[in-house]
Amino acid sequence: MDDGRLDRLEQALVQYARAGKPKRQTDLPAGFTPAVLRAVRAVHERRSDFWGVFALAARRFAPAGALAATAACGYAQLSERLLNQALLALSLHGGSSAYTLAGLLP
Amino acid sequence: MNDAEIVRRVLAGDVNAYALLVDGHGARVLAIIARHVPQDRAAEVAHETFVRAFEKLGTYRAESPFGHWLVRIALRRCADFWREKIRRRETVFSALGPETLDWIESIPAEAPLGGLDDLAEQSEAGVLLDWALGQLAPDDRVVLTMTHMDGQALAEVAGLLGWSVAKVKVRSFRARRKLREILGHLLGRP
Repeated sequence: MDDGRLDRLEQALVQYARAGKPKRQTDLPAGFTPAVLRAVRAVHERRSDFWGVFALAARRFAPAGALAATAACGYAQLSERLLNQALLALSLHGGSSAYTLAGLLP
Repeated sequence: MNDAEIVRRVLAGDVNAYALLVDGHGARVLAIIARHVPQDRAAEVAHETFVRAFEKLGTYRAESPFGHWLVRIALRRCADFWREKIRRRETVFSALGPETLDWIESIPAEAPLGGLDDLAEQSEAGVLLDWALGQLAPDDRVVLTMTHMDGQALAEVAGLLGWSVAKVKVRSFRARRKLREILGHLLGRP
């Protein structure tokens, strides 16, 4: 098989593709725009619903959330202070103080 | 009212104004999509394109025309269409019937390149073209259709796909080489 047949096969396919170009129908089908609008309205409503639920949840759980956040921050601060004390004690007195200080850690 | 103003209105909550964009660009988008996906699925892909464009409307910057931005989304949806087909294995690669194989056999070795009109008008050429393009990666298929089949300029294709001209050139060249390999195998080449 030579390249001549391959070139002609490719050329025939290209010619077919180009000849098909003007035959393609480009009119929008009936009801196309209303169908798109229905779909985009649904997208818009879904987005609005999400923020509505988000706002409701935020209002509903705000007091409990604030309390939980305060507790978590307090716990973190306390832990950090105790850890710093432990490290300082270890650096000053060596390993013998580790057992005592480890008991203080929450 | 120009497209940028309509986009602003839609983003401000006037969803109905989006109909102006659909009516204004629908026919062109559909025509472009019909070049890349089967005719009976073009409207469906165009519909998905407009919905996707609406979802991403907030990212549109009025620096380039809205039509270009929309066509870029449409071409991505076309590539996604073929990706989805490959994933679902809907493409039947053994679809070449005896008529198409006979048509391939009838390709002459020495006829002038311009004298293939009769062969190019037969429906078997379309079957083979769809089959051969189906063997390419979705992005390659889109870029090859635009550059090689439609004869669009590289710069134009680059603008529409959001690629560099060099990338279009390389992808197009590789896709064409792959297409020739596929056709070569059909002709009994090693």
